[in-house]
Amino acid sequence: MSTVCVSDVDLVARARQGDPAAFGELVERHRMAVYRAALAALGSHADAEDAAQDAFLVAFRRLDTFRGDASFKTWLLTIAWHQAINHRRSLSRVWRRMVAPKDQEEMESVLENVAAAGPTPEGTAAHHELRREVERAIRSLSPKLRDALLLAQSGEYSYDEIGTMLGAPLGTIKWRVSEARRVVRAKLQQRGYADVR
Amino acid sequence: MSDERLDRVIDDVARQMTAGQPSSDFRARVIAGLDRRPHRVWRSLWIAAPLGTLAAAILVILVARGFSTSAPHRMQRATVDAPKREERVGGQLRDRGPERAALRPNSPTATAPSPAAPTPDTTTVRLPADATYDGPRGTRVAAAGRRQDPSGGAAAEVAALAPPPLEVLPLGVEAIGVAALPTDSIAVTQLDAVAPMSIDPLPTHEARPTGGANDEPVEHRP
Repeated sequence: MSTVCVSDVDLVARARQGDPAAFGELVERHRMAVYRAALAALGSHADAEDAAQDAFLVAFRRLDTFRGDASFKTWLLTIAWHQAINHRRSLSRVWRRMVAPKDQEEMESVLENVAAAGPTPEGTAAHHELRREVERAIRSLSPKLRDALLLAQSGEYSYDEIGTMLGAPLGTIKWRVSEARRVVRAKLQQRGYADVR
Repeated sequence: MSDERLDRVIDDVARQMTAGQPSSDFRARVIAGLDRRPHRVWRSLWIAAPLGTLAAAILVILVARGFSTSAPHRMQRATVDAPKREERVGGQLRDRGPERAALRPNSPTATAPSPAAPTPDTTTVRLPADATYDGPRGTRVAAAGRRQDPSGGAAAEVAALAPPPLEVLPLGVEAIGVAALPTDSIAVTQLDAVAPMSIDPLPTHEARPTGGANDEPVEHRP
């Protein structure tokens, strides 16, 4: 049976009846949102993929608890966020970060590759340096501010969905995003980037 | 740099930090994970918990054995090892009879004492400071040197020279028979009533009686 035009609720109903293809379609539809939420929480692609996979498995086991009050995506993102936070708190991940701290380098190389090229070599170098400083400032934010900023800027979620994931009201989420920007700006200005053109 | 431009850079960097997509086989791996046992974490915990408990128990035992090398344990070991020694005093073989017989009930020493091994006594043998004895493996050791061994040798010697435990028979004491005391009441006779006594007053101007030691005439001088 085709699942292209089937709603999430119907797919959930079929998955509850033991249809793995229906759940596979749900995975295909929401894997990006789940993965990026995990990436925002963990900052590592490998950890984010593990957390996203665990989130789908947990969601499959808890399909009976989905009542349809919220959308399936919101319900799934809540599970994914909790799984990512559990990963973030786990001691094994801390150990892995201590042993193989190459996630930061991996992220920096990605940023360097995707950075916008300036008109001159000097401008390009300055732009790359600015982006590195911005990333450092974002990583040094408190988890509440950083999570809100990254989730908001990922482009995958509405503020309502972010509020549901983080368990905070809509106004609080908006304030956190604004405050995160202000703190990053202040840190950049402390490092002399206020006058950069 | 204006705040708006900085905000654009911040938003752009934040977007890049969450950019990316899962691997191409992500869906297949999730579907494959559905077939696995759902509680693999708990299953691993059920396996790890007993192993951890066992490791902790072994650690506790090792630590306890490390502490048990103190004096009481050495004394106990010396008590067990002591009967194996034979001490030669004055060129005569002395066998630590009771202890040895107790540990080796089938040995000839326990059933019929040989002439070479006299009847075991329980007296304490005090060796002089310069006495020597045959140590284990036929070595001759000075008694004074044994006292200088701080690692349990003295304790072993003390344990070896200790007399066997005394057998104390239960004391059979008969109960003391006590006759019952007479319980008759004590009869007290009533005293006679005392009759009133009449006393006559003494004469006031009566002469003093004579014949006393102070009957000398009193001279009155003017």
